[in-house]
Amino acid sequence: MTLRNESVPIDELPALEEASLTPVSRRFAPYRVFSTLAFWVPLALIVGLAPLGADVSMLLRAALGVLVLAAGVGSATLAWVEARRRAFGLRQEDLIHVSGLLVRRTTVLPVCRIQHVETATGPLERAFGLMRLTCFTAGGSSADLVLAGLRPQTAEQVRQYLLQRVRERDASAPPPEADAPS
Amino acid sequence: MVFLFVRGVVRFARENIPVLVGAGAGVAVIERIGLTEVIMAVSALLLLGVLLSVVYYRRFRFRLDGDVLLVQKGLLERTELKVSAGRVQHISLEQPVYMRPFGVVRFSADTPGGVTAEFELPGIRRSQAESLRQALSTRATPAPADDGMDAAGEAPPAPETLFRIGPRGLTLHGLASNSIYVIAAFLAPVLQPLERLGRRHLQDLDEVAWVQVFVEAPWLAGGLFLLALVVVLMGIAVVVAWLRFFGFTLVRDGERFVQYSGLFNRQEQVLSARKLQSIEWVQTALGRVLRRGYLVCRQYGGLPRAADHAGHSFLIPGLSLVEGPELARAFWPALDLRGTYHRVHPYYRRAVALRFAVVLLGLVGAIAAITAQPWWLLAVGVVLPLAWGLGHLRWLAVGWRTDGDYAFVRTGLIGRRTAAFPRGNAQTVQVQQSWFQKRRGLATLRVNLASGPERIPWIPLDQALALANDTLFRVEAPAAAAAGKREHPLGSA
Repeated sequence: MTLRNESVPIDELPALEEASLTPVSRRFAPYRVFSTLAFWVPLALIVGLAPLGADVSMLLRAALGVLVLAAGVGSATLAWVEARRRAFGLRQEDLIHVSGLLVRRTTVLPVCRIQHVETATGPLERAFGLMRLTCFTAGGSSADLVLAGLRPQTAEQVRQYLLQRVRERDASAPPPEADAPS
Repeated sequence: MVFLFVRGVVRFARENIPVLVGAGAGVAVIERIGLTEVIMAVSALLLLGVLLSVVYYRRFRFRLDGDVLLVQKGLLERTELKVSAGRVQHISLEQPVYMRPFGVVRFSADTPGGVTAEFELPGIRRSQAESLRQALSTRATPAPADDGMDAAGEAPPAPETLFRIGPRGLTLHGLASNSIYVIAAFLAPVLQPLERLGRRHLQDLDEVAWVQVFVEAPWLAGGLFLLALVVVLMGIAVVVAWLRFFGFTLVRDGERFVQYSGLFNRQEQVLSARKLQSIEWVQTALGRVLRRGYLVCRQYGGLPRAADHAGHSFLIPGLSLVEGPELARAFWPALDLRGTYHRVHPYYRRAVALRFAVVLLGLVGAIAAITAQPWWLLAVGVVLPLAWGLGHLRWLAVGWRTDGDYAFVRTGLIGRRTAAFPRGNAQTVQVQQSWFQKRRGLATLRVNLASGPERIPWIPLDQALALANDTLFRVEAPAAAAAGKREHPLGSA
């Protein structure tokens, strides 16, 4: 087999930065705040009320508790802003996910690399009416894409669409062998 | 039947040596009971072991059914394993010394999905293992069926020897390999008792003349001790390399690459050209001095990099600076490891230096706090230049370049590790921008391969986006065009 090595017109490539993105559900922000506080508030209580010994004054203890609580409120605020800026986009050939606040990550997963798609909801997510979509690849957990905070019907639609594409791909591939798409 | 017993005992002993030794020592030291009791206890344990392993052996069954390998095993808990041939990644045959008289080998194979998804047939006859391997690795490509367990198989198109290591290469590989540090780490806990022992003896030796010299010049003594330690470590590293890679031979057999190695423990590893994801050319710090390096071929379900020497990755040791890039072409003919690499932005140096400085300052602070000696804080003065130096070394090491379909990412500190991969092998692509990077229009590109992630840090955002778009195009265009014909733009042998 000879190597195909035609040059690629750089300017005509589909541009990642121009892809249109959809923000995740608006309920995702309160969910993130809630789940962040669910971790920090008990921690603040433990720090504030734990029997640290008689020589630690009440005031110092309360100050520590308030400090932890403040850290919790701070990270909840960050989580809120981050959640409002999360977005995803579905292009013809790939799935785009933008997340992060201080470190902004744009992850692109080509549809032809998807091995398997899964939707999941935790109890808290269910209370907020949210759903999580996980796309698995052959690259191990570091290469899997998790879209959190979708509305259930969006998640279901995306999943159906992706599964349909995966099925078409598998049908067109000559041997149904398990060698992941290459 | 005798053979079966021996094999059982051997297997049992191999798996339980620490337990046996520990139990024996415990019984002898703590209880101080008579020798007869110890012997009785040991023989009872041995008998139990033999019985258990006989049962284990009798329960162990495997069968090749079409292209599915079925393994049944288990003593108390029965496990049945089914592996389809297309899923098998990497097959290795191993023959430890004690198995050699019986002509049996250990057969193990990896499937994608990490380290856990590995299965092993601990003692099967060599011919059987060979034909099993043949069946499993040819089944992935549509091949004429030859299920016959003892059939020699059809004559393959004359295997071609690509590389054979010589004693010089072996020794240099041992010297250059990082296993020195691993050995040193293993020896570290032993050092302190050794020192204590030495001190006790030294007091007896006080009047000997040459000891007097050392006592008067502690720097000389320390230097000589360090030198001796380094020499011993190097000696051990060379011995380890000889044991592991003696007679290393790399053979191309059609679509497969097979390597044979090992002095006592003969090992055979197979790599299928189609499943190759990336190639790494590695030069350790010492390797750069000695002008040696090694190649690592990575497949799906990448093992952690620290496991390079653990025996499961496909490693080609002891290559010179000419042989390495030359041999890499055997896997991908268009691959050229040599070329000019782009540097990343100098801000990367500052970011890395900052990271090192934070870690080092934390370390200094912790030492000062633990030892309660504030003069340790003076080390802060050294930390900043050191961190800057490390950052600079890192920045010098990191580089990237693209050549046709291939991308090359180089990293390291004093050593160098260059990963080469066809961009069409990317699984996901990520452009990452921290708040600091955003202000300066920089970004980090991360390409996740099936064998693990590769990062190009701190390059201009438009460059990162262009690379990402280009990479995605190379993944998606063949897939979109594949209406039945799935051809990949990578040259396979």
